[in-house]
Amino acid sequence: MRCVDVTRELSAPTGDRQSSALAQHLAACPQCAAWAARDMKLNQLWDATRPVEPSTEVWNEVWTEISARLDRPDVLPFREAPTIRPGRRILMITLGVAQAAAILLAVFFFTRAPGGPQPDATVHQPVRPVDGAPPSSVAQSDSDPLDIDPDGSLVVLRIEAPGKVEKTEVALNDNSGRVDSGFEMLNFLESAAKQ
Amino acid sequence: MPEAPTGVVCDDETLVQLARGGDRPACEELFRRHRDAAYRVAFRMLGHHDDALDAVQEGFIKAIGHLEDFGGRSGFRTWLLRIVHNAAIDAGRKRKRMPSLGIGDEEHNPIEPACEDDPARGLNRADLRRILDGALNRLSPKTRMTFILFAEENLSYKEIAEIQDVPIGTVMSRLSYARHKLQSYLDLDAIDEL
Ligand SMILES: [Zn+2]
Repeated sequence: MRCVDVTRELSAPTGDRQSSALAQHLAACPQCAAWAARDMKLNQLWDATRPVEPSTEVWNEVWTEISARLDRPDVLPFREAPTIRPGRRILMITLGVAQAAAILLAVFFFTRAPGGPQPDATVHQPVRPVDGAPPSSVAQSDSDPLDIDPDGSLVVLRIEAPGKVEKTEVALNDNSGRVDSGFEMLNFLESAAKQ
Repeated sequence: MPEAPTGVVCDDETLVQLARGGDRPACEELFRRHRDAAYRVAFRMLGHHDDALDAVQEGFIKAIGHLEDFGGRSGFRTWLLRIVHNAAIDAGRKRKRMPSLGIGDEEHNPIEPACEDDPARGLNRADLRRILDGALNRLSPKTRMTFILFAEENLSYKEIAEIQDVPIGTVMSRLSYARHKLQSYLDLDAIDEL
């Protein structure tokens, strides 16, 4: 047994402290024996300086303070954490994905339906000038046409008065924060899946 | 003290379940059971009675306030000590109110007993604590805590590893390092009577 193994075993015992090899080494190695003696002294010093535990009165005061703090709603909500069984979790995820798929299909068929918006047929169709107004790229048709703004937003064009065209942005959700539509869609699908 | 209908005293696990539902007596019983261990660790770490009480108080409030995070893998005491351990390390870092012996160079100035402390007359408890605290204070907070958890609370390597979130081998290395360092910081041969 090496000296380093002896001091290591004395410092953080693995259960071999009583082994004969350790005892033999300590008997034969004055250096390790001195180390062991100092280690024992350290243990005695530790024992001699054990903290005096606070009195019951002190602890009662501490508990009173703790109890008062626990009464504050911001400290202790005491809410039961919702527990979701694995089977129910899978069911919820499946329903979420199905919901998202249904919405995607609905959007797809709506945009392809004969009565639905036909961007290719209406966008960029010249508008007949009214009262000498210059031609515009705004379509004039029975159904409100769709256009794409320079910033990429999908808009509905509505002619309010001759020469006056109102643009209404199409958004799946309230998008007043001007969030990217693709991101908004992903967000929506994610939240649908979580529900 | 909360008791089961049969009159059997509740174990910590049951008390934790009750405490999660807002049962205040269960909280108090958990506090009563583990306050002393938490105090001993915090006191050894911070070296100051009031700081130790603060660490216990803050640690216990955090523990009760976050019982939903307690997985039950280790015992409540281990979990509480982990929180108190963090609170004590934070407090020590912020306040630095550890008693100082006015030591200079950390590595080359072993702590000697004060000159008026004649070993022949024996050192009183306060002197001994001052000497030991000074040496402990020279260890890094994490190594100091490892040693305190082992020497003061006799925790297993596994429990200390969980509290400090380190591998068991690190715990053993820190213990070995701490004992070597403490031996070098303390003039143990000069302290005859303990
Ligand atoms: Zn040796």
